[in-house]
Amino acid sequence: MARNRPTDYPAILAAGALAWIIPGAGHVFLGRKLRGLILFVFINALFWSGVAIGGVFTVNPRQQRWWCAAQMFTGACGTAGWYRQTRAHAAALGKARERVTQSGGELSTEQAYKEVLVEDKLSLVYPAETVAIAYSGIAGMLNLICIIDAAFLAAMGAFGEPRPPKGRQEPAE
Amino acid sequence: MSFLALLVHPIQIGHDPVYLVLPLLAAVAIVYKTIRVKYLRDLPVQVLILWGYMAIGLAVLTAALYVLGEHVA
Repeated sequence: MARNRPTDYPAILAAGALAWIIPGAGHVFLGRKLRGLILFVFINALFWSGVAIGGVFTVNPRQQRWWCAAQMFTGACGTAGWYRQTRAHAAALGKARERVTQSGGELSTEQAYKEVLVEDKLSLVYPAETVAIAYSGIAGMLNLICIIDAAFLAAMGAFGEPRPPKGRQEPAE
Repeated sequence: MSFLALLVHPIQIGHDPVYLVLPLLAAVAIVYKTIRVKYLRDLPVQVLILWGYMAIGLAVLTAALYVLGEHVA
């Protein structure tokens, strides 16, 4: 018989927020430490593999708005990637503006910016672009599933690992 | 090349990096099954099954689209 249990809104909020900020932390909060560790390792590995393939411009809110939104679901990772991209963008834009001034207006800022990216070997081109953005974006979407799962588990009051049936022992965490 | 430099500049991955879909599918299978399996003991087998399904499914889909593109369109 189902019992009426008050909804634990702070726990739902904490599980969801932790799962967003640090992938896997929501599950650790719910007492599912090994699951949280696995999620942390693989979501981070996927996101940073994407950044390793595509470089600093993998997270690019100016050119890849929707993919950037997906990447932001990795929380701290996505935010760090965005911050690094913003700094690299500002540095490249500064160089491009200097170049426009030196050319006496012959170059447009956009042209100069593209040249700076190519010269500094920061320009993201196919196929590295596709792979990098897919890896990091899918990492974000996977973490969205984890956020929803952590919030639902908290709403159901499912703290800790489920008990194994008789005759089966779960490995100790 | 330092680790930080690796995260700044894009790397060369060849012109046809189809093989890179396999680690992506593995990561998807691991994360999905980690939150779906009831008992963690079942995780490795469930991950392998899902990874196999996705890899074979994509291969079949690729072959079907290739045949469609070459012979029908």
